[in-house]
Amino acid sequence: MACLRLLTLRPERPECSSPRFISRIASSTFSLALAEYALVAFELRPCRLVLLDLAGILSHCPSVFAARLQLDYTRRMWAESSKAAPPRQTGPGSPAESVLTRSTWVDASGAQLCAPLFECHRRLDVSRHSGRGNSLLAARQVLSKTVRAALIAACTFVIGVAAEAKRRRATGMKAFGRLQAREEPPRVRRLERMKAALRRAEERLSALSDALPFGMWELDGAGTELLHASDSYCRLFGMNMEEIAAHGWRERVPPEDAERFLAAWNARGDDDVFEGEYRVHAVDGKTYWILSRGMRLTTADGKTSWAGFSLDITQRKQSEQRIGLLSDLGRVLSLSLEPHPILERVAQLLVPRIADWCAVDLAGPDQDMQRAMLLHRDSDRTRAALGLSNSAQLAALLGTTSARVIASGEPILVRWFPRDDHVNAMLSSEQKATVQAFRADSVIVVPLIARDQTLGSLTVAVDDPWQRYESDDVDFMGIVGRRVALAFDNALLYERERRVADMFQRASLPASLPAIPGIGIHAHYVPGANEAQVGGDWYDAFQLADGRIGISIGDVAGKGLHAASIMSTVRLFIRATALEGLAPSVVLARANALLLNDKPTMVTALFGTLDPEELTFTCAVAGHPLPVVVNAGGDAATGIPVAPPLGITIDTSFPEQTFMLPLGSLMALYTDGLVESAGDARYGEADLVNAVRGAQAGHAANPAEEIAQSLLGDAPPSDDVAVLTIQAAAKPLLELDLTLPAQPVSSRLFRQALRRFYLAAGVTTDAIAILQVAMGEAITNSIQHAYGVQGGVVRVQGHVEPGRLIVEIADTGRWRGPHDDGGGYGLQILRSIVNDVTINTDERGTSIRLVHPIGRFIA
Amino acid sequence: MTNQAEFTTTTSDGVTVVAIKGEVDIANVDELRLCLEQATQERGPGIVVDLTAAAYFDSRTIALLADFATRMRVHRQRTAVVAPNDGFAARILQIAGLPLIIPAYSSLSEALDAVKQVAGA
Repeated sequence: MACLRLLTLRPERPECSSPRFISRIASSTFSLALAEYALVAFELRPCRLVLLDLAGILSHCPSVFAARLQLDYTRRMWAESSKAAPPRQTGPGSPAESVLTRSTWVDASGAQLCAPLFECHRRLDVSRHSGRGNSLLAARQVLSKTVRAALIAACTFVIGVAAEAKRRRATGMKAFGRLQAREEPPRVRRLERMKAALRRAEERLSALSDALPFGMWELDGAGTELLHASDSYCRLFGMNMEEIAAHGWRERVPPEDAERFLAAWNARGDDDVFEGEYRVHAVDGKTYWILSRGMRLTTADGKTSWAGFSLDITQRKQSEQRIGLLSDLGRVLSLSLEPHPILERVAQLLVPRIADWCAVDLAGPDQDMQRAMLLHRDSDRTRAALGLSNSAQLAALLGTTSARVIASGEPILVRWFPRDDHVNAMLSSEQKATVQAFRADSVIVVPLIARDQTLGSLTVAVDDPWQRYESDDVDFMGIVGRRVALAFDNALLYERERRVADMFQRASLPASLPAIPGIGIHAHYVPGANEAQVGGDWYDAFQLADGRIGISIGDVAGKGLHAASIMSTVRLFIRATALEGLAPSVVLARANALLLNDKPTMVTALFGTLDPEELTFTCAVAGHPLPVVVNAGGDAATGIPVAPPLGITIDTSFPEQTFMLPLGSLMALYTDGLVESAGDARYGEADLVNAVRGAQAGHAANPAEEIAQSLLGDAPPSDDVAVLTIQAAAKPLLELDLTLPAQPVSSRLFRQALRRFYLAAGVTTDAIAILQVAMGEAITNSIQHAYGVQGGVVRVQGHVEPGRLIVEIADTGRWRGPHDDGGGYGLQILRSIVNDVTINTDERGTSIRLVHPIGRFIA
Repeated sequence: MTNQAEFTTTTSDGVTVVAIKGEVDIANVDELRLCLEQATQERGPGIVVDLTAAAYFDSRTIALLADFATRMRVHRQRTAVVAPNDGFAARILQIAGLPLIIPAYSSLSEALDAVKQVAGA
């Protein structure tokens, strides 16, 4: 078998031409199987060029290779080449050079061993060239890549035949004659056939193994020594088997994967099958996922070894990761309806799963751009970068790429990002360090497009050279970008709607609450969280003509604009009816009639009047939660539910009940969202009493807000909530300080406050009536002075000194004399009632100081 | 602010009676002025202003009444006020000295009688 030669034209596989390799193959009883191996290899691995000296095969394996067709073929080739036609132009497709060459290999019995192996549309006139190399070179030059391998096989065959022909020409046809004449005994032939079949099987397996990207491997029984690794495996590692076994494996496999895989391998125990996965940073610059599956083999003599194969499962892993990411993305996008949290969650999902850092830039009006999100897998780096201004971030961290993507709407992939490219010269050294910490080796920027509008861009970057992005990652990020954009756009719309709803709601509530000395009226409204809808809750407080305060609170069933419009109607109807001076029971009865007449909707409502002098609250309740009053001692009281909600039946009366508001007490009115949000309503009401108690004991600026806060916490309630509190001062009104606009209507409010001050000071009601006239003269004067002056106010202060009362009335205008409008009676009356009157006028305004003894004030 | 005060105009034996209920101050004194001017259209023997239910009034009301009474006198009509003894109105009128201009009576019937008497005389 010495003349068998196997040559390879594969510079990347020097080991195939090594003497050891060739001799290993040569030493086997090589026959048809080898030839088949080579041809199988051609088909499987088109890049490989193997030259077989077929002449050697033909002459040394005559028993197997009795070849009728073969000979015919050879003869034909011979005949053609001996015509010695002049060489023609070897341009592709030149008809003169195009012959169909076919070969069928048969064994001695004439059975077909291989299907037609190759078709070649190009014949090479090898007889005109002395050397094989020239022919091959010519072939390689003129032929396209795809047919090159087949052609080389063809020309190899031709070369072999041509060489044989040349030899035969010299020696005559004796050899062929001998070839045909030599016949082996039938038994030997059968044996040869069996051996050939076996070898064929072996070689087929070997070829197959090598055809797999990672091929097959073999370890000794202990699992420590690598006996065999496929060439393909060696190739991806860029080293030979010995190098892989010595150190190469750990060099190419990421440490965490190596640890995990080896731990599993060492823990394989007595199982006969082992399976594990790991990544390989291959020499071609890509990272592969490998599934390694092995079996314990035991030979007849009891020796064991491990044999297995490695599969490239990179695609599968990538798909798994992407499907997992998309599924998580769907979940994350459904979690929030607020724009910013959506971006935050998306960033947390992408980092570190497919990016080392991620940024979202939003297109603003006027071509400017806002970096809405920046997240690095290292939170320190995120913090440092967020310390930079928006423009610095954009200038330094791929902002220009984002701008390009936003402008064009097309994604951008940067496979290899130059390291220094994104450090801006304008930055300080500290900023540069921050920016450099955000390295990017590979970057994808995709547009965020929703409803044909580019909202912004999403940037993902990796700073690991092994993890660079490829074009299929861009496609995937495109999907992510579209889904994020849609969710973000929806959130923006939702936010807009909610803002409108909230504005509408707040516009429907009173702009300000009455200011009454010694009584605090506070309210707090919390919009519902989950609905971009206007709620149906309201509260209202307004001054009544007789000095009392009208207070209403209620809740329209349902939500949305319909509920809100009814809420607005009912609130204003109650206010208008109450201003007529009607009693609470009548006010609610009329509201009930209105609802039944106009829009039958269920409305719970409470309307009452607060008497600031008596400190009582008289109210009628229609299916609404009752007020809770906590007195200075912490005792809580509530009322009796008696009437159904408004809008159900006309045959309803709304009995009144009166609550005492002793000094220091706090009364809370609320809508049911406040207690319902606690789940169990009874539990919620116990909490409510505690919350009111807490607000009563504390000194919150707004007790209503404090009650809502303590019951609802920071989380927005599912339903909207309105709370209104009435707080009676802890002490009688011995200190009066009231500032009101300088308007005629204020004079009465001042008198009401003064009346409570005098009552607290122990002045008799008869005396108060007279004193009020004196105060009224002074106050009216002040109102007239400051009236018309923009933003003019009048301030009335009163306090008690031993035996006497001091009231000061100040305005921002000038004292014009009390007889301007009162026909001369004003000052006369004032001085007749109060002896001690001091008038001070300066550029800031005028103040009147009235001092009179308690009890003896009339001259 | 509605119903701070109510002004009711009635006629009793040809005499117009304007009753004031509630508080009269700078905010609604013009309302009272209108009401009194309408009452003078009646051309009766005179007008009685009933202050029995007045909870508050000040110098503006007093000045208005004084001015009104003067104009009535020009038309030979009489004006009288009703202010029960020791009541708020009586005391304020006293302080202001109005009884010197307009006679005050402690009851409506007295005031009506006085106005009719004078007219009849």
